[in-house]
Amino acid sequence: MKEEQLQVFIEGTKYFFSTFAGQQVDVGVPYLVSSDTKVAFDYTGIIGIAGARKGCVYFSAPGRLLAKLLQALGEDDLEDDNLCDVVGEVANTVSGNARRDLGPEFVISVPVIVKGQLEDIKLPREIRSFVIPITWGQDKAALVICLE
Amino acid sequence: MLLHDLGKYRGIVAAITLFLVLDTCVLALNYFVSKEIQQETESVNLAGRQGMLTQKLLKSLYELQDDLAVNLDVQENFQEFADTFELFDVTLVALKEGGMVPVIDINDAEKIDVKPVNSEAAMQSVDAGLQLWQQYREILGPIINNGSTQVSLLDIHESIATVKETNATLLKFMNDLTRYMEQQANEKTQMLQYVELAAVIAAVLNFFVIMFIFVGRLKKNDEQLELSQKENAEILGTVKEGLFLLDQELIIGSQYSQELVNIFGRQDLDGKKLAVLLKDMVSDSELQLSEDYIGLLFKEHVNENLIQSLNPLKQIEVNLLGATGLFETKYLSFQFNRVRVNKRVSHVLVTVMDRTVEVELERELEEAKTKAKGEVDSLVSILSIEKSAFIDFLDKASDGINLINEELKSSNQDHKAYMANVVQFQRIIHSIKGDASALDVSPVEKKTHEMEDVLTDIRNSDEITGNSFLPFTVKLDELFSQIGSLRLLSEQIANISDQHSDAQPIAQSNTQSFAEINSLVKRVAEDENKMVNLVTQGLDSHHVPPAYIRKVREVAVQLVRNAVVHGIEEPNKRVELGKSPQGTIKASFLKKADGNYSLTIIDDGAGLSVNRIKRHALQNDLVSEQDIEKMSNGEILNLIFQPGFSTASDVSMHAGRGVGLDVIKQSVMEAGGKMKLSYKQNKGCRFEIVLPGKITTTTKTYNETDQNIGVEQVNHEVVNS
Repeated sequence: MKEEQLQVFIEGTKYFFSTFAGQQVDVGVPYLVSSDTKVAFDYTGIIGIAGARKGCVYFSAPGRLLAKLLQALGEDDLEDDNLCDVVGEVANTVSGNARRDLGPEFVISVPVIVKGQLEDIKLPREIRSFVIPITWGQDKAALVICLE
Repeated sequence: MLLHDLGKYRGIVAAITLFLVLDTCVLALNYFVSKEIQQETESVNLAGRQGMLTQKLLKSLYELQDDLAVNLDVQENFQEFADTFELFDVTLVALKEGGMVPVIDINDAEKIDVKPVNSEAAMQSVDAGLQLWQQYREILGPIINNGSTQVSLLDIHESIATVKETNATLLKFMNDLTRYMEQQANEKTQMLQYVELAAVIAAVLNFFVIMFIFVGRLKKNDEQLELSQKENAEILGTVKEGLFLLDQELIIGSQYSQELVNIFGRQDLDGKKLAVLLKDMVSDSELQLSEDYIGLLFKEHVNENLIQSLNPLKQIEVNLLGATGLFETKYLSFQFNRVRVNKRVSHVLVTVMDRTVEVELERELEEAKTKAKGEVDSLVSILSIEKSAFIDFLDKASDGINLINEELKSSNQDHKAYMANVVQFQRIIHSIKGDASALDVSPVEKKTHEMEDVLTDIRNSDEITGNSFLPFTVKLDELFSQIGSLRLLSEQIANISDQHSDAQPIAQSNTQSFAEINSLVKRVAEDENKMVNLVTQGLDSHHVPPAYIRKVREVAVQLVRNAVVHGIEEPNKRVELGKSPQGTIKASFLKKADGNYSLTIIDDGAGLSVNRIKRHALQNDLVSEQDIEKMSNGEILNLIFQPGFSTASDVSMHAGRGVGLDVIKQSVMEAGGKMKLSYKQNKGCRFEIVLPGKITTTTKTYNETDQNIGVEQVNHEVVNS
């Protein structure tokens, strides 16, 4: 997988936090997991990718991080729906960034929000996912990129 | 609507029409006959009245006679007599010839139309009556004509005599007439009843005909329809293509196959426009083209076969978004065919075929071909490598990759930890590269070399962040895939060789464990433009215990390669130094008297230069200038076992990374062994690795302990070449 393509998704995540949340994220050392290993926190925003490469990219974060993120965005209602919405917003920004930078040969979906584990997502066994650990303040999240 | 357009409903419509016609006829008949009966009833009444009038006539004559006898005014009775006479006369004539008859009395303005009697018996009675009445006319007529003033008692008296004599007969004729006419009316009434009864029977029969024949037929039709609908549903539920009809407005018909639902993942297709179905699947321009193409199919003059090549949906790639957020890519093929009804294009039949499996198989085949081309090199290498050595290599490489990945995962976010990671990764990657090089697995050798480049870039960068490792992780993923492919390839080869040949003799197999060292020396010497002769002794399975084979091979590969790259000089230089242009490396393995094992690598190259080591250590910041001044030669020599130390001036595939002896050091340490290094300037270098006779096995390939290694430097020892 080309490094530049991965970088586009990472930049999308960084952009969201620096632009909307006013505080940058720390991007950790990327590592690999087998495709049947899902790196999931409490809430996950998934975007489907097709076209030149196929698979998915998801941003997964614990509720605590998302609650703080909501507050940073000026929202005091920390209900479940809003936590889902905000993880979707991150994924949406990543998706938008990717649409802009990866060009028309990539088909990129709008996000789907999943609460809890990601059991229903089936990925090809032979490929590995790139896990990009994300640290925002004291909290950890992950950007996972799994493309054929 | 024409009768033939009614199709199967023709019979039932005919039956109902017949019923209506019959009903209308009966009603019309009823109407006319009733009217006749009414007229006849009136005639019967008139006939009855005639009987009464005969009596009344006689009575009025008596009254007139009484009046005349007592000279009373006869005017009133005379008038009644005349009226009675005239009414009887008019009525009787009307019954014979037909005509208008006053209803109540002769002066009544209201008249009824009386038809002549038509039955023979009635006619006879009328005729007989008329004949008798003629006498009345002759006698009474002149009296009435003379008027009441001229009437005489005598006239009346004579009239009474005549009337009295014939009155009973006339009454009888009139009663007969009445009876005959009643009989005729009754006959008509009865006939009407029969007709009505017949009509009711016909209606009932018609009803049963409709009920049993036509309803039965309709029921049968319905059953057939139901059966054909069922068959239709079975076909549409089973067929492996998406089938539906499009009308001229490009609207999808109500019947479509289940496969269509499966392909498009939606149920509500009935009555939708084609554009709705294809939305999000094809671009706007493709959709427009498709609609134009289908439009052409509805044009009668266009040849269907000729425009087939214009079909823009012959094969399209669509990405359908599933509920989990992942795209499902399908390759669909649309085929459009005209449907003709009465020789006119009524619909276009659309057949959608899911060609995903075929397309993917084609792609896989294509990829397999490309991959196979790329694997030829690997294949050639693998075929020449002893199986267990190759499996060992793959296992070790996999262990290395997994260890690196674990380290990446647990990495601490600070510069120092990152640097430690880089050093560790360099060592592991270098080791894999060494093995790949020894086995001549060039793709892995190349990939690990690229990884070393990336690690060097990271190390040399001013600031290391987590993201700095991204290019390295990408390469690690690629190496992962490479090792996976090689493992698959080796398994396939193993399967083939298991099937087609006998197992290799063990001795040969074990000898081959070290055979690659020879080819390594040749290849590295060629790459480095050097001439080298390798002499081995005891490097085979007879001498090396099985538990040490991997270790001895790993260490021997690194040291022999180091000897070629760093030790042996180029042929010109050797000649200048008075040596033979071809250098010699001796690699021997033996069991010593104390029970320990000894691996010795001796070369007749340049030996070591303390000054060069010092210079290099300073250049690479391995030690400060102040510290190095205080260091003994032995300590300086020890620097070559530091990570990041290499004296080769340029980075090449075989040297210059600063990784090498530290890998050997790690490996020897793991086995609890010792390492001795001795050299003489321009004469050569000697490495002796002593491994304990009592073997302690370790499952970990990459031991991360930091214990001190037993290295001795024996300076100026004569190298026995």
